[in-house]
Amino acid sequence: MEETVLIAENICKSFPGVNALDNVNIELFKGEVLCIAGENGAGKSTFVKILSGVLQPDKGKIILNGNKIEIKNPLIALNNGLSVVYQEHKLINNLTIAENIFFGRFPHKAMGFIDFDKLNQNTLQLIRELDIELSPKMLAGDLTTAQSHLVEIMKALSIGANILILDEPSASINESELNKIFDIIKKLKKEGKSFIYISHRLEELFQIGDRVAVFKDGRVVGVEHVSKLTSDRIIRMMVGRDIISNFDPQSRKFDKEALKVHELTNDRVKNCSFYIREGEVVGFAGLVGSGRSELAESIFGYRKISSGKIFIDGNEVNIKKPYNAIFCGMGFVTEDRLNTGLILSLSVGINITFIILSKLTKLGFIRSKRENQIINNSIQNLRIKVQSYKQEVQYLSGGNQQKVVLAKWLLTKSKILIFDEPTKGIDIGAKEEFYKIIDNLARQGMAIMMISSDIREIISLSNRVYVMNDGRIVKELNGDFITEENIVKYAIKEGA
Amino acid sequence: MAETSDNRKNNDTSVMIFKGKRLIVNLTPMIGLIGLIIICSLIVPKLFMSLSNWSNILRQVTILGFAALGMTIVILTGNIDLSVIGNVSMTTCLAAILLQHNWNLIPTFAIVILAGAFIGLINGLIISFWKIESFVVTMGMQVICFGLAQYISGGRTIIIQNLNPFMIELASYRIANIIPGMFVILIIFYIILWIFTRNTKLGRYIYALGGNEEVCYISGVNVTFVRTTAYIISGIFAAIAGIFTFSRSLCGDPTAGSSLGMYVIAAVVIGGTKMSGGRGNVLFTIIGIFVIGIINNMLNLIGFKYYAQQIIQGIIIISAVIAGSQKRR
Repeated sequence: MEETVLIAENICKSFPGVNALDNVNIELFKGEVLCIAGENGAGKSTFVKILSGVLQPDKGKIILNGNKIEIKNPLIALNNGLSVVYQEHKLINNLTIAENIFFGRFPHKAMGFIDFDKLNQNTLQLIRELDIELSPKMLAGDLTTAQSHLVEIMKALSIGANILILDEPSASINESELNKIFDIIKKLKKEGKSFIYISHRLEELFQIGDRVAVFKDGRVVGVEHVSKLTSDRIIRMMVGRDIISNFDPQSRKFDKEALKVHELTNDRVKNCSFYIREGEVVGFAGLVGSGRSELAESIFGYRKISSGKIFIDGNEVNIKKPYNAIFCGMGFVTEDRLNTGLILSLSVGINITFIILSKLTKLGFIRSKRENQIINNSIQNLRIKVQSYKQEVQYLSGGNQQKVVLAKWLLTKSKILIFDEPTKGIDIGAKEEFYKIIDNLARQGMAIMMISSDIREIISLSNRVYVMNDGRIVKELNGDFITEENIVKYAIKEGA
Repeated sequence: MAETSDNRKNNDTSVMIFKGKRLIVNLTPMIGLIGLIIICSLIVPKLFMSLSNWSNILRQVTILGFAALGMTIVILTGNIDLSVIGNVSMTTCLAAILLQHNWNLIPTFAIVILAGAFIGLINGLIISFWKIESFVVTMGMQVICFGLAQYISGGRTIIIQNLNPFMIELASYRIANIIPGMFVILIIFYIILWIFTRNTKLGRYIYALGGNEEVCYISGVNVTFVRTTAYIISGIFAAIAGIFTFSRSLCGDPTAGSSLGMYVIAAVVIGGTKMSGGRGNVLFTIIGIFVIGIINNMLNLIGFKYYAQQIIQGIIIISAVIAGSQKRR
């Protein structure tokens, strides 16, 4: 009988408007690798954050080695032998490997001075145990992503971790580096350490995993032994089957090409070519980090492009900064409304008319009557819930804030509108409303580029879908081929 | 990190409290000023509340007022201008040297104001093009300006024979023998800039730049232009302060600006304008200059030693800022 080291029982966690985790039950055995798979937003990261003490669950309990514990902060997690290796680099760049590993637990000499000899000695011992080619005195800033993962693993071991959680370690490292990490995982497994391994890449689950738990919409939809699973099966479990209302995209009438992009390239996107016609919604699907937002930013002049051409209404345009893009009739509802969408300290009204201010001025003075009229119209048309247009925009709910961003861009009368994750972090009701607005705008002849990580959203709204993977557009899907299975397949395809 | 969710909860409640108390928060500087006046009039009633003393206070705060007006605009954009006090010194000396060479008033004023504006232009362009912290750039510019002041004046105070009587009157004329003419000019400028920040496109961009630069850029605003304009305005008002400094002392003193010191920024902050930018009110800076003017006046009236005055000023300035700030946590 296998020995259970960790049980998470009925874990629930919700954020405003989102049910991030809904009765999650997970068991982890001694010396196994449990893989967690799921789409973006399925709740994997929230689960990890709860285990590591970064977030607190609303409900549910965690049982570690037979004892119920409350992980109120990351320190408690560490002291109980639970360590997380995060996807991003979390080491202190200007310190050495040894200093990073024993940070806060330096061996001391008399007088409180750090005993560097012992520090490096201890580190060297760890490095030898794992059989890695690193020197204790290397600076963390000089390490590759894979190497810094290894340092994180050593750090976890030095604290005495029995359970290691690896959050998408493969995100930015290459095949051979990953194999090195797998070797170490296998070695540690034999010593009785348990692992929770999170990844988007299905192949890895089969290479390293003992069991796979699939997350979907905050629930665990299945836990199976790897031997009983196939890629297709996992994809089907990840995708599930509850589809939001269909807006019948194919009944829209298209007109000529409004936007055409030819071989656009810069440091984040490679040779991207696509077009969007007036009257259609074109979805951009892919994983987080696949270059979708970067592509939109590059078209809009927010990010420099190194080569490629952009055509609007058939004419080549030179877009160097957002000002040019707006002048060409483009609008951009950005993903991060708090940092790039709204000026939080200013009023709803000022935010709404911000871009069209030039049209509202006479000799530099703002015609406030005209302005108030426009603001009130926008608030009514989009049904933005505010006490007054003078209310500061930071006090609105996420959905209403998003409407303010949209109102702002709609006033520019753009012909091409880019939506980057238009329904991120807003509640279900507001989402439906947004879908209707987007559908209507397309039917009025607007060309819409819609980036979304919510595949169902893409399917129910898009006429065509471009799937991005690693900075490239890897597939264009049309009509009946726009299915969740197809999108997921191309989005996670290795070396595409 | 550990308390992410707790913090969020706290923020929500603090937001709600803030909403209810917003009016009070906005009025804090005003209430503080009135409180200060009441306290002062209790300590030395006769001396403090006399007309001649108030006339004196108005005269003393005017030059600070001009410098702080330009500074308010820069701070609203989320930047800072440490070069102001150097600029005041430089423009004072420039005015003095031009008048010493028998220039007429109008071209003198024009050149002095252009020189002040030029300093602002350079500040704005350097900060925008190389994306450097405004603190560092303008600190360097302050040193350059003090150097230029020394260069222009030859290291000495410039004294002028046969000075144009207008220059003598400029700082000393009093309406009905009470209200200094230059204070009236100051108030007119405050009202003009208040209308400018409230009702013009550029004024709104100034607030917006301090609120969120990225949104401005994505929305097609020429961020460099807005920031540079703010610095030019700051430079112009430093030059005007320089001209009045000259008129008050009737000589070109290359160290004149250093007496303004950090009072310029203190006045703006006491007036409730946030150092992070995007929030504040030009008119409230008047409250700031009065708080500082009254404290200085009061300490003189009581007759504290100079070092004690400085310590007390510092304490009062910090207290004023604490009173005006909303608690962070």
